[in-house]
Amino acid sequence: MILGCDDLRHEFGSGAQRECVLHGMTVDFPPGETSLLMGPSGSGKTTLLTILGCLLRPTSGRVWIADTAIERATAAQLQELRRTKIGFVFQQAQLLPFLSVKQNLEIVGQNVGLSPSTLQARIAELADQLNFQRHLSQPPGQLSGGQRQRVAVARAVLHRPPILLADEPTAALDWEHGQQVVRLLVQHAQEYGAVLLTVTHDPRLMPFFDRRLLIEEGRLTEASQS
Amino acid sequence: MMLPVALRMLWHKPTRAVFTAMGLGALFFLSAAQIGLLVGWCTTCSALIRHADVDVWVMAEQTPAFDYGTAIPRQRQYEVRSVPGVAWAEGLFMAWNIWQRPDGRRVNVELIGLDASCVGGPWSMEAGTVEVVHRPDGVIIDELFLNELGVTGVGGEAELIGRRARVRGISRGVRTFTASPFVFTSINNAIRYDRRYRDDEITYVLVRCQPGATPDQVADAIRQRTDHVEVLTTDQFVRRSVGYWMLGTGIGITVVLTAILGFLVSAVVISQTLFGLTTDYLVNYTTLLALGFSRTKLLLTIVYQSLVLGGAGIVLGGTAFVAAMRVSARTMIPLETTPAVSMGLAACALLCSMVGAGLSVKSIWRIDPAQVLRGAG
Repeated sequence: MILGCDDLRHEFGSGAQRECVLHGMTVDFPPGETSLLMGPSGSGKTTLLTILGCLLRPTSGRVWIADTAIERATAAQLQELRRTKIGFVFQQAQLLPFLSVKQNLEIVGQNVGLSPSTLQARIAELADQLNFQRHLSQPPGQLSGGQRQRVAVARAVLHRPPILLADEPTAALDWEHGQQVVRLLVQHAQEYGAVLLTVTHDPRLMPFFDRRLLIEEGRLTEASQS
Repeated sequence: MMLPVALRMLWHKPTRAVFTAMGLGALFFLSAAQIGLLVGWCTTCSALIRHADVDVWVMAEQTPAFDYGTAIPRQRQYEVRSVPGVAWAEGLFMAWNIWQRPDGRRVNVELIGLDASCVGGPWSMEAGTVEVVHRPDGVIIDELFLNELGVTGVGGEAELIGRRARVRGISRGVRTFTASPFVFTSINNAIRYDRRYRDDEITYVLVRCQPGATPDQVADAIRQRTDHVEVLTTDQFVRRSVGYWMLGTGIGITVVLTAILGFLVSAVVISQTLFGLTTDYLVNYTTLLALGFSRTKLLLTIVYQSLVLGGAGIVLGGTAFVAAMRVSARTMIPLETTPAVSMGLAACALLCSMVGAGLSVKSIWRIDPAQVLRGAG
């Protein structure tokens, strides 16, 4: 299983302050399937994404990331899974402001161990595909929000991870640029058979995805196929 | 991989980086100058002992430093000569005296009386030879003290407690630590100048060993055959003199404390800068951690930054120190260093830089990569 969880529960705080945000959630994501995770604020969707992204250990239940059960994984094992198996796109692009666009991509490629020739070839290919060749030498601060998010997508797919997790990737963009970013993510998932899970509040994105998951008060209430 | 990241992050706000490096440079200079002063003092207060090029010194008991020798009978010199392992032994006289300038002003001086071979005399001459001390009224003074002693060069005259002294030679760079200039003459002249001493008195017996005999062995042999004197090898006498001036008077401790203070302040400066830098880019560190960068790599970034800042401080402060050394070389208070001292200073500066990175390391260690997402939603 590329990505999935079984009877996943998660609580924050302790004693009287304890709050359960995920109540026994079970879901799996087949390779190549694109899913949209929606729900009101505080429903647990980001917590789910955080756990599936190996950034947080669940209180109980099982989680599989690329055939590895992570509930007892060490911090080093979680870091290794994030490095090699997962590509993240955040609400803000979160590029390093002191590096150029190209350097932002290079350090991520070097960190996952791509050879210099492969890395340069992929950067060129993605820059061409996502239309930011002209901006490679510029710092992110000189790019528009849409351009920055396209670079963030390139950073997420650079090492062709089997799992792509996106947290409100269009929230900071206008509809036109938002669609563009979502199309790029979906295209990568389809091309490389990757799982794509996107958290959003925007119902206009539904037509782009294979499946829609609705989460309310820590429970999956609806799962529909497009 | 992380070095370019560290450098670009540092250089992203160049004003802060430049001012920090300049501050660290100033602090490194402060510490280096203090230690340079100490090295210069240690060199100065033991220079005559080291330059005498002898193996063993025989002196009155409890002599604290070269400058405070007490008279011993010349008989000791003859006793020493008969000790097995001694190849050569001569006397050296040292006493405080008063130099009266032609204008009547009086200056305290250290009067050094040399024996027949002139061992213990000035080791670098600007004018004349060391042997001129054996001429009637002949004295040698140093170029650094011409003005203070009120003479302009060879041929100048003054008085030593009412008796005429004629400058017949000028030495170069023969400083005293006491600020009272050395005045070299012969033992006979010296005793004539100072009536407190008898004709058969000297202050030190200088000894050279026979080939194959070590200074320690010869010093032991002399100790066994002579009474009421103290016998030290040259190294031991250097340590005693340096120890007296630097530790006994507390002067060395003061400069060492100032140097330590300089290093501590540099650690604080670097700590503040790096902590500010780390805090500014904490969100970027969090992103990198979420993307699968190890904490070790992120910590390496901080370490690189601390070393680069510390290194820049060493280069700037070191350059200023070398310039100050050159300027002070021909003054009475020279700044000096040795390769080992320079390396030690640089090591201390880099160590302080690393210590200064501690706060930032703590910040990186506490990052929760989950913070990269919006929080529980």
